[in-house]
Amino acid sequence: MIGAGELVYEYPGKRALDSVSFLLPAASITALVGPNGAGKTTLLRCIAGLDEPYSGSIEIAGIDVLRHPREAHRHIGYLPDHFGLYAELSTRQCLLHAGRSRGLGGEALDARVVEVATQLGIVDKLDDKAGSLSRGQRQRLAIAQAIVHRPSVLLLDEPASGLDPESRAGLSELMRRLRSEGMTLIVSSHILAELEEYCTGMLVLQQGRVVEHRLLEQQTAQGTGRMIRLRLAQASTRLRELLAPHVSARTPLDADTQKASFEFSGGDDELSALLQSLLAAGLPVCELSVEQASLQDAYLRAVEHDRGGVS
Amino acid sequence: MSLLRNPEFLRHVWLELTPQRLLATPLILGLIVLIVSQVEIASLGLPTVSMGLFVGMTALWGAKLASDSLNNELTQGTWDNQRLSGMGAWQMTLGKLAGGPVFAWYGGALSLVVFALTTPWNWASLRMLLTALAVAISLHALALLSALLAWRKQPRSTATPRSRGASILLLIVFGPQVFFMLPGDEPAGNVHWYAWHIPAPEFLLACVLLAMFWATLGLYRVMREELSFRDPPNAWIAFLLFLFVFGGGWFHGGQTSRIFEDLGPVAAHLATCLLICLVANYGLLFSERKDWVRMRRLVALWRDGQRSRAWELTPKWLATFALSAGVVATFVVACLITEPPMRAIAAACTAAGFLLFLVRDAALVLGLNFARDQSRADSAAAVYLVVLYALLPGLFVAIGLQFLAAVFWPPLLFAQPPWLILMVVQVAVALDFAIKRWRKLPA
Repeated sequence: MIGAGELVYEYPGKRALDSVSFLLPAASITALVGPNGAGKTTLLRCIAGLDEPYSGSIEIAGIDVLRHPREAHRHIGYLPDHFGLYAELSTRQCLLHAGRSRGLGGEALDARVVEVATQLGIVDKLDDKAGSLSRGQRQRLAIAQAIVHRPSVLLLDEPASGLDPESRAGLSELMRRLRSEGMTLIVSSHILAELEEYCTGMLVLQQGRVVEHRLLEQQTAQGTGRMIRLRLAQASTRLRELLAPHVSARTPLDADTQKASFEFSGGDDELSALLQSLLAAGLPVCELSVEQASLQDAYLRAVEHDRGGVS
Repeated sequence: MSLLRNPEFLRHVWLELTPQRLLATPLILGLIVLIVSQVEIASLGLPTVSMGLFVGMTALWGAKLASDSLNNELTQGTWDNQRLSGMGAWQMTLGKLAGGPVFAWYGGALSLVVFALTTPWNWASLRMLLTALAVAISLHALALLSALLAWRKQPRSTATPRSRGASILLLIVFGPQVFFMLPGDEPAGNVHWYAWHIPAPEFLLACVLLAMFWATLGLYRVMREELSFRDPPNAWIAFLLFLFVFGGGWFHGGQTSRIFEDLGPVAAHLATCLLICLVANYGLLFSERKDWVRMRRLVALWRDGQRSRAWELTPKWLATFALSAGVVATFVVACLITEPPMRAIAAACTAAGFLLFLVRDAALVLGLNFARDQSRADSAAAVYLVVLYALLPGLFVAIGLQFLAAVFWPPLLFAQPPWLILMVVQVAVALDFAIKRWRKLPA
């Protein structure tokens, strides 16, 4: 649905995107994460056809964005990090303008305005001026403007910033609903705990490069990505040696002679076999806990790994 | 699509035509009309006052409102959404052109009602009205165009003092000119253009209609670029060619040139074309963004044989330079054919000197822009050019070496053609500077 190939973007003196390639399936929600200055906003702007990269290709729903940006714009909704609203217009007028400028009109547009305002919880603010809304309400109005024309691709740059906990929960619900309607979303955010609630994939950018692209749903189905914490009643020098073959290649084994923590890539049967082999080797296992690797853990490990560090 | 269904126009109507404004404006204008109808103010009648109000409100204030409508998009962060909208470039151009100054048009329309009711209708009053309308639309288009072009020179995240400055400058330059359209101030006599003798008011009307056409076309083309359309600089070249043809009207048809008195009509016409090219080239060199990443991409595309895409990315200053070189070559050939030999050589050397200095100055401006931080490159280049064009020749004159001043002043080459060699040296030094800076840019 969204594909990028060898994307390079340069500012004078800085390469913001360096051979970025990925393919995102339709009806997915991808978390775009990375440190500040990693190139997330630049990537979103390139996908939206707002900035033209130095080289590479971008495709959305079979449309070459670089060759036909205006065609691609019909399929895209975009919420910039510093979004703007016409402060002097009412919420209804803002949404009517957004709809009309994307080719909607008539009674269908009036109905859509009410529908999208209801979805975002601002239907009681339709006659208030945009400038008089709270930060969270303004954010929701901006999202409503971005989806009023029912785009097939929605790009959101820091959509949850400025939202209160209740609004954030509502935003998560909205993301899931949009995805269930077939929309493909890319969400750039620093709030990883919330991304985890609704994202189906994660794209980690660092210094303009993709350092990790993983599908979270697939990972869960396969039982991969689980963090195992293990403790022995008495120290054993063989612990590291026995665990090494079972540790996921993605992350290093963090172990001493009495306790270990590592990512386990196998399923339940493999985990059971591992426990039996440890007991059979005479190791006094007194504690074993399984944790699903959080998005935050996965992100931090990817970033550390790219930097050549050890977590 | 009709204007009344244009989303951008409707947005401006919502914003600008509030009930309070709709009521207050006719009341204020009515009071002015009442005062003027009761009191003789410097023998001004209602037609003059109403036309003055129309020009003041529509042309001048409207230009400010048009410019503000774009600048507000930038400061409020709404322009990216507009760029992503489904509106076409013409729809957006029309929406901005008619919508931005819609309140000024409302006030102007009320003034015109007074004008229509108090003026005897004939061709002269209709012509005056058409001229005023065309001037207003031209100014609005130029104000929008200058705001869009000024944005390109600076990061869009910053405020817009420069774009506001461009609009204010536009008003200062053109503002006083529009008042000559008031009754009694119309130009009299005929204009001799090519072989035609055209009454001055008709010629003026034709000129402002052409200005309106080109300003609107320019705005449309820049709007297309904003909306991610890929266009080569063909319209810009067409505009320069139009100026060439327009400018030729004062040299042919049995006229005596008052600007280039020593040259025949063909050479004088081509010299004017060169002058137009130079003004355009220097203006673009300082107003266009010199993004070296884009230039690098242009070079890569050219080398890859993607010539049409490279042409789309070609900056206007470069396209204008190519045209300038063509004009100089034509001028040299025309001089050698139509002028006496010595004068032809002197004129050809002078034209070549102008072109060489254009290369030198472009190399200087670009060389300074070939850096990570380009924020002060253009102002530094302007200072260096002041030194080269004013301080150094002034120094030579001050110490009694007037003949050396020609090395820094192309017009003086007409009398001292051999100094052209020293100009070539300057060009070589400037090009060397630019090339070295280009090679030092980060990979």
